[in-house]
Amino acid sequence: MTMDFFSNLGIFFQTILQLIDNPMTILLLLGASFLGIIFGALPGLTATLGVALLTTLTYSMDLETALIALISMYVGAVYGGSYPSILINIPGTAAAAATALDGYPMAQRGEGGRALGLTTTASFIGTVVGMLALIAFAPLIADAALQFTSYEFFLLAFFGIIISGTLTSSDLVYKGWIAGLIGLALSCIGRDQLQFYPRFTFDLSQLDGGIEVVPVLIGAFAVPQIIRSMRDRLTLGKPQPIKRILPEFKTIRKNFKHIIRSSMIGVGIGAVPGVGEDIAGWVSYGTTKNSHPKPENFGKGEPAGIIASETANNSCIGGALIPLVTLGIPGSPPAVMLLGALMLHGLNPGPMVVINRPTFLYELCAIMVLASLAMWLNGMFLAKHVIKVLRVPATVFLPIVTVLSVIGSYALGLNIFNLYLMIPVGIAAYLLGEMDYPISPLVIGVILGPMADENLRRALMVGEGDLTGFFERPVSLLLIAAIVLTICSQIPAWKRLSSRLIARFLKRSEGEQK
Amino acid sequence: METLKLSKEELSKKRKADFFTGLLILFISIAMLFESFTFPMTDSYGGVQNVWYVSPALLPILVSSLLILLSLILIKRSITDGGFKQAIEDFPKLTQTIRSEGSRRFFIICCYLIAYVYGVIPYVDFFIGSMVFLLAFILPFYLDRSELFSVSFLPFMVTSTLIGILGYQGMVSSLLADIALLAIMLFITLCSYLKIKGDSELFSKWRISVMTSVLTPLILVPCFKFGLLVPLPTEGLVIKAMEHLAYLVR
Repeated sequence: MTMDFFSNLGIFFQTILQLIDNPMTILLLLGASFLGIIFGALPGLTATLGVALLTTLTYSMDLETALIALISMYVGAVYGGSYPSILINIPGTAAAAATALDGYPMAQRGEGGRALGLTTTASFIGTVVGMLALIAFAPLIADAALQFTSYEFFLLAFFGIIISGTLTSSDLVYKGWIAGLIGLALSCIGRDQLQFYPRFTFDLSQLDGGIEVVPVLIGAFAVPQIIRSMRDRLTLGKPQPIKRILPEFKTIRKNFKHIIRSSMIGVGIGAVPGVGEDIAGWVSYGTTKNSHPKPENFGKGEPAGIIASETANNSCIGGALIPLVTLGIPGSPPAVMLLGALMLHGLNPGPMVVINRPTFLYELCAIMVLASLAMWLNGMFLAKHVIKVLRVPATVFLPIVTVLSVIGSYALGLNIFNLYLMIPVGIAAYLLGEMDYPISPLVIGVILGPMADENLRRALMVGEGDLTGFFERPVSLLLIAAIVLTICSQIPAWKRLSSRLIARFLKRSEGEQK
Repeated sequence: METLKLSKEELSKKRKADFFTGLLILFISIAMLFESFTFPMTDSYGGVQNVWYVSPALLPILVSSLLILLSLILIKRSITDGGFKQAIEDFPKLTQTIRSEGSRRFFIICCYLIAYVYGVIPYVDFFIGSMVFLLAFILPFYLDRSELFSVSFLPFMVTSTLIGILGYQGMVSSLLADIALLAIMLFITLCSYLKIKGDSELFSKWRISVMTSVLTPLILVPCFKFGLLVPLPTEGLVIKAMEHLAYLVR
């Protein structure tokens, strides 16, 4: 066990040394991270979109180089969202929305540089803690997942869709479930994997191979963003001036307990399928405010507010990678895109990854450490230049994003049909989004659909049509219970019953105390 | 997470949309269910005798059944929250909603995207097509002048639709399509310049729009074509010239 630990630590440091030994890698790290910060900083562009568009540039790279670019972009974009939050009170990404509450008041009283310094260091710490969580929990989960059979994989895919639908829906919960099921329905298009029977292909040979994931992802994430921002005449205010940006280690030390708590919240929320950095930021902000000795200072430029939101949204990255690496289920929307990119490079994340590529996890962690370092360096030394980007109007860069999305979707398989698919998917995703249907469960459904289909039929094949197999295995039972509880918790009668039971229990325990 | 507390009016408006989407999802799911029942269940396919539990229809039936159930719940909820009533009350105002500023802009943006992807990309040189698309798309939105739609949106739409239809029927050569779009580029540039002539702020925005539309494909095309070795959807006048130039430089 100890030997394993040291050998893994050796692989981790060896990867770091190998990476920093190559000047091109350092350039790629810094460049992708800088690009990520710009993507995060520009309202209308998101981390998911950044990873999606960069994926198209990594086609010709090997897996390790592509990962360096994509992870640096992901980390940079999540952090970059804080720039407009602090300087113009408009969050660059949803993940940085909570940062604006205290960041902007700080910038207004001339402490913009200090706020950016705090954000940079908090995001760096958050990413590193997320990485530590990944390295600590991923091997345990992967070991357990090696025991999974078709029963568990089908239920896991189904649970992923249900839980992401439940947690990402801002209106009725079953809208999230409908979105997930639409994704599953889309994944049924094409010839099935076991019998090669054409399903819903409408006699179009282009649909025989099924729907390509990357065009669907680009369509679902990029097109609605383009339509929404161009439609709404998004105009940005003048950024608040900033002075020197310092790392603010003293304030960070003073808020150490908030950092630890926020990191844990970020990792926990990130690990839940489909729930991303935005929710992590808000939950962490709320928790820190409630536990702070002076909660009335929040919203008026309290540094702890910025630290809470930024640490959580960056630690969420590591959390989101835990189910991605171990189970093949992405933890957040950018992780969905990352999964698509990994599959494109011939790596299928999931329990088998520890056998097929035993060093993958340590390489990933080494890349995360370097990406967070690149983000910190960019943040400390290039922040003033990034701010200039905020002057670029959305009506100029979004048409460019359209061209990039088109060429990105096409470059995969050099197939124009992918573009024909991207536009209707994008318009449908926009309309669904306008009616408060979350998009993450939809794309998770598209990605997990083949896994659900194949494993459901395999499981039934093993039992020759007998369903009892689902109830004979502990993990399978646990997943069934989780699915049933998640669904039941949305039924009004169940809600009434559970609240009545809780009230009765509380009454009884109070009576016993008296 | 039903965290948002909406006013009664907002709620019935939202449920009105839910009523229609519920119906649409119900209709599609029923069609999907019927189609799924045509897949082999217990009969033989490809020489293999099927059994219901390995049938390719299994997941589609499960998914469509769940969608039918959820869409019915959605419709029921929308009726209880006044969505259906609102839908009937608002029916005469339908044209007003369609003509609203937001709907109009949404429709125009969709037209741009559809014309670019279905009309331009398959038949026109990627460099030229993207350059004209960018100019036609950026100008009216960036300068925020409705009169510019007539000199950018309309010519772009008409030309790309024509190219798309003729191209689909194999009646237009790539060269002709390239030249037609170059002419449209010239037309949009000149007409828009004449429209904003005299206004220095608008002129500066116009210059940025023209520069962006030329520079973007000028950077992207060599990056993909010669850097990443990705052939572009249609390679015509300009990309072929670039290829010759690259050959000469090598």
